[in-house]
Amino acid sequence: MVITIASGKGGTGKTTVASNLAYVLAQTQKDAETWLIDCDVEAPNAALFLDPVYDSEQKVERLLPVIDQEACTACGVCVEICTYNALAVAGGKTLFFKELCHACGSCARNCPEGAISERPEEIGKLQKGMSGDLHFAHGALTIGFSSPPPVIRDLKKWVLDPSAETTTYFLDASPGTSCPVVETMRGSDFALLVTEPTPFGLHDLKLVAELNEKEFQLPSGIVINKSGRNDAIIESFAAQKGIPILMRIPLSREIAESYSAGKLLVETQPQYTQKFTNVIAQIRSLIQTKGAIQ
Amino acid sequence: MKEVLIISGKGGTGKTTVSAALADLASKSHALVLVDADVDAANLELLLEPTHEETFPFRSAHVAVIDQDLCIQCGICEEVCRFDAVRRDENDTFRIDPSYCEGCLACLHACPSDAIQKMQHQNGEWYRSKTTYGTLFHANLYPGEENSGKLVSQIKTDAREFAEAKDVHFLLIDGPPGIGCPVTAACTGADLAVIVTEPTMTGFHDMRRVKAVAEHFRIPTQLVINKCDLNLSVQQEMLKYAAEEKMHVAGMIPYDEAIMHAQAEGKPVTQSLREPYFDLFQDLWLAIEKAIYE
Repeated sequence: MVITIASGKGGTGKTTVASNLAYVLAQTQKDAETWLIDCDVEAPNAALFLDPVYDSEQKVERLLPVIDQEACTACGVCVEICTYNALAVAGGKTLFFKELCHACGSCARNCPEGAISERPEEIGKLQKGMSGDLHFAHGALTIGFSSPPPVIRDLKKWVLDPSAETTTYFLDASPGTSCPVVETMRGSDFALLVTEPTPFGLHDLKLVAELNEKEFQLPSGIVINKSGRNDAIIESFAAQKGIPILMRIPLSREIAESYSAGKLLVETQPQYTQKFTNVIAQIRSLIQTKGAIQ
Repeated sequence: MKEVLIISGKGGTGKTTVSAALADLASKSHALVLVDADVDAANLELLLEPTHEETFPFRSAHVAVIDQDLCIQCGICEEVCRFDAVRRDENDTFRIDPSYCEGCLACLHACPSDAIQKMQHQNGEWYRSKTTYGTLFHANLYPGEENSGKLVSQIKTDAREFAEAKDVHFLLIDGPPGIGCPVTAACTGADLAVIVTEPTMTGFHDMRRVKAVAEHFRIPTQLVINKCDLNLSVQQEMLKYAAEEKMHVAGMIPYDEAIMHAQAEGKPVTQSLREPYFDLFQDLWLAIEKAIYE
C-alpha cells in the first residue's frame, strides 16, 4: 500500500501527518514493514521528527555536459538544441548554466565538433535507515541543481518495492502541484490531502485535488489541520467533490510549539495515536472500496 | 530597477503574508510592479484583489510524438531517452508516454527517419492584472504540468519590460517554496532576497538551504522570523546563525491568532492590524527600503 501525503500549499502539515501516521503504524503493526519516504527533496524535513539511524547512503548522479573550449567553435548548435536554455554563446565562448540543465544529453550528442563530453555529477543524495520500528528514507537535492524529479525517481526506485503487498509506504510530497508532486504520486494507491481552513489552504487543495483527478484518479481523503471556526469552507468543497474528511487537528499553539521542537504529535499528545490509527483504517477501506468498484 | 524577492525554503512560513503587507506599505511611497512567482500554487491574488487586464496562454511545454508511418522501429529513441518516456509494446511499436516526457527532444534529434515531431501544448496561462498596489503579473500553471521555472522567467521578463515602459523602478516578487527550478528562476536578477522563516526545526533547516541558494546566485539576504516566539531556543539559534552569516534580521513577527485572522480577511494584514503589529510590518518595510537604496 502506497499512500502519498500532498497539500498544494506549503506548511499545512504534510510532514506532521505523514510522520505521525508512519510512526503509529510501525508501532502497532509489527509483523509488516512500514516506511516513511520523504519525497520533498528540496526541503526534506521528516527526519527532524524521527531521528532515524542511517545504515546506507547513495548518490544521485546524472551526466552533465563539459565543454572543451579549445574545440568549441561557438557555432550555437547546442544552444538551439537545448530546450531548457542551459547553454548560451557569448563572447565567442559557449557558456553552461548548470542550474537549468535537465541532463538529457542532447547537446553532447549533437555537437558538430565533438566538443561536449559528459561527466557524472552529483545532483542529490539519498539515505535510508531505521527510526525504531519504522523504515525511513529521504533524499536531498544538491544546492545549485534545480530539477527535483530525478532525485525523487531514484529515491523511490531505491527503496519502494511495488510488489511488496504487506508493506505500507507513506510518501511525504513537496508543496505545489507541478512535476515533483507528480513524480511522488505516480504509482500510489491513495492520496491523503492535508489542508488548512484558510482561503489559501482551500485554493491549493482544489489544485491538488484537480491534479489527482486529471492524472491519477486515486481514492483520496482530507485532513483539516489548524481546524477551527472556518472549517466550513473546506467542508463544502469536500462534500461537493465527494472526498471524505478523515481527521481534524485543531489550531493550537501547544501543537505548534511541539512541532517547532521537532516532536511528534503522538509523543506530546498520546490521544492522537488512536486518531491516526483510525485514519489508516479509513484509508484501507477507501482503497478497498475503490478496488471493488473497479 | 530594484528587485526584491521573498523566499522561505519551507512552505507556509508566511511568504505571501509578508509580500502582500510589503506591497501595501511600499506602494505608499513607490510605484510598484508585483510578481507572484509561486506559479503552481499562486496565492498573492487572494489578498490583492486583482482585476485581470490581459490573459496570455503559456505554451512552453512540448512533448515528443512518434509518427507511426515514418517509424522504422530502430529503437534509437528508447536508447537516447533518459526519462524512461519511450514505451515499446509487444509488436515493437514505439510510443512516447507524455507524462514521462520532459520535452528535451533528444529523441527528435536522434531519430534517423525523422519520425518524431514536437507537439506543443498549453500548460498554463498568465495574467497582467491591476491592483490598488500596482500592476500584478501572476500565473496559473495547470496542475501536474512542468516548466514552472520557465513560466516564472516569462512573467518576470514581462513584469520587467512593463515596469521599464511605465518608468517603475521597483519589482516585488513573492517567491515559491523549495529550492527547485521556479526558485532558481525567481532568483535571477534579484537585488535582495528576504527569507521568511519560522523558529521551528524544519523552518530553520530549510532556511539554511534556501540561504545557500541565494548565496550561489550572490544575492544579499535579510531575514524575517515569523511566529518568532513559538520556540525561543530555536529563535536564539536562528539569531546566532544570522549574526554569523552577517544576515540582517529585518523583522520579528510574533505568533498571534490576531495576525492569522487579519489574513483570513483576504487583504494585506497591514490594512486591518493595529499597533503594535502594524509597526512591526512598517519597520520591516523600512529595513528593506534602506537595504536596497543604500
